[in-house]
Amino acid sequence: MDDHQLLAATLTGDEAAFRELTRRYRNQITNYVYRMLDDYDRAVDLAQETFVRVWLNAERYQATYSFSTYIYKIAHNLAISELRQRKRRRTIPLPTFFSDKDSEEMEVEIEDRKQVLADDAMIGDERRRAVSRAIASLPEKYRAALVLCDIEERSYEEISDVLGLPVGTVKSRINRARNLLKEKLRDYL
Amino acid sequence: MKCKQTREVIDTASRHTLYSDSVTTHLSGCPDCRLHADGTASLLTLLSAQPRVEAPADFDIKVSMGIARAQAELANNKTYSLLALLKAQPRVEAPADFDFRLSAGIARAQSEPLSPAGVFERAWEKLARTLSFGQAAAAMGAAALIITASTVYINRDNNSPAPTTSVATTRSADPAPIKAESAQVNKTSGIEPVRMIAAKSAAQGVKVRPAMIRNDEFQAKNNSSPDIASLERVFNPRTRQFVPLRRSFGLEEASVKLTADTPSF
Repeated sequence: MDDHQLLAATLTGDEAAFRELTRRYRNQITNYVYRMLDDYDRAVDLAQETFVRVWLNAERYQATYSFSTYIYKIAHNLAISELRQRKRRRTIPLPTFFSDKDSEEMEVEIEDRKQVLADDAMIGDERRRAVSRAIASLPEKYRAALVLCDIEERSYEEISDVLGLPVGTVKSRINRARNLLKEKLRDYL
Repeated sequence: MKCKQTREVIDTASRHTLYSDSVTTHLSGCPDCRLHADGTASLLTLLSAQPRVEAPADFDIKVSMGIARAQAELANNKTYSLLALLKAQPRVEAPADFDFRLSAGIARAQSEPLSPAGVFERAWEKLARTLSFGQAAAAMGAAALIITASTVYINRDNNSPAPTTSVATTRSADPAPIKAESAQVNKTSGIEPVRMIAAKSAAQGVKVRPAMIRNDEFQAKNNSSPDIASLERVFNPRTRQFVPLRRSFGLEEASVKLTADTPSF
């Protein structure tokens, strides 16, 4: 079954169809929101919120867009809203917590640089961390275009639909984001 | 192909894009563009090598809990509940013989003779169809204006005070009117008593020196109304004597005509 059929089944109350949709997109959405926020826990929360909204507003879905565009758009809007709230509150990203191998003891590590330790569990080398920090330091509008294009590997047309921008503007932003990253990652290229 | 065009192609290319022959040819002969292309390729490789975070194991459970919580919130929302109730209202449908009843009603209405009220109603409907909304509003406004003007014109004659030339007529022989007049003067305390006296005497052609009567005296006279006439004295040029007010105006009618200069009471 394709995404449209699954969503149609979801509208009839088929929970199994919705679970299948969730399974297909949960990692993509979580990854995208994480790259936008640079905060794993909050990214998971917003990814879950994205699926809740898909369920509640399934009637409003228009088949003119692909489902992936639709769900990325919801996730993007949530991420942008979160970033704006952070700006208003001037919050600092939460200190990252991770559990040690022994689940009874929680090791808390607060780093002076903006990064998420969930990333550290997966990324071992300095280069990857540097790239992660460089992406997180990009302005939002460039970051979203770059992540969708070069990490999520979405087409320009799809990015255009998700961001609500002309394709030309999307290309321009991606180019600008790449040039900025080249400057930041000069030592690694 | 020029360097600018080549770099535009490189910058907008994705990781999986293969360069065209013209770009490849240019890159083989242009070290700067080749460096640019290599840098972009390295960056794209770095980005693609970024590890992808995954959703936690309890992601689905949390989504289910989130949906349940959101639905519970919606159920508690009064507006949502009201809308759901309204939406659930059954729709009433027309009966099967609706067309038959309608045809019968039309036929009956056409066969019935028109009463005078029906004629008026039909004329009104015809007029309403003829006039636009603006025209109808203008006609109603004009009618309202005419009615208002007519009402004002009719009421003007009925309600306006009669234009009398005589304001006060008193018989000084009778003490009661004097009391009443004094009481009236008291009510209009803003009027100078001296002028009142002068106005009364003007009809008699008698010159009165207002300075002869002081305000405090007038106040005292007002307070003791029975003796008011005996206390007032005016100068009579015929007799060249000061005479009491009562004797001066006795048995005669004092008529004061309103002029523009006369203060209205």
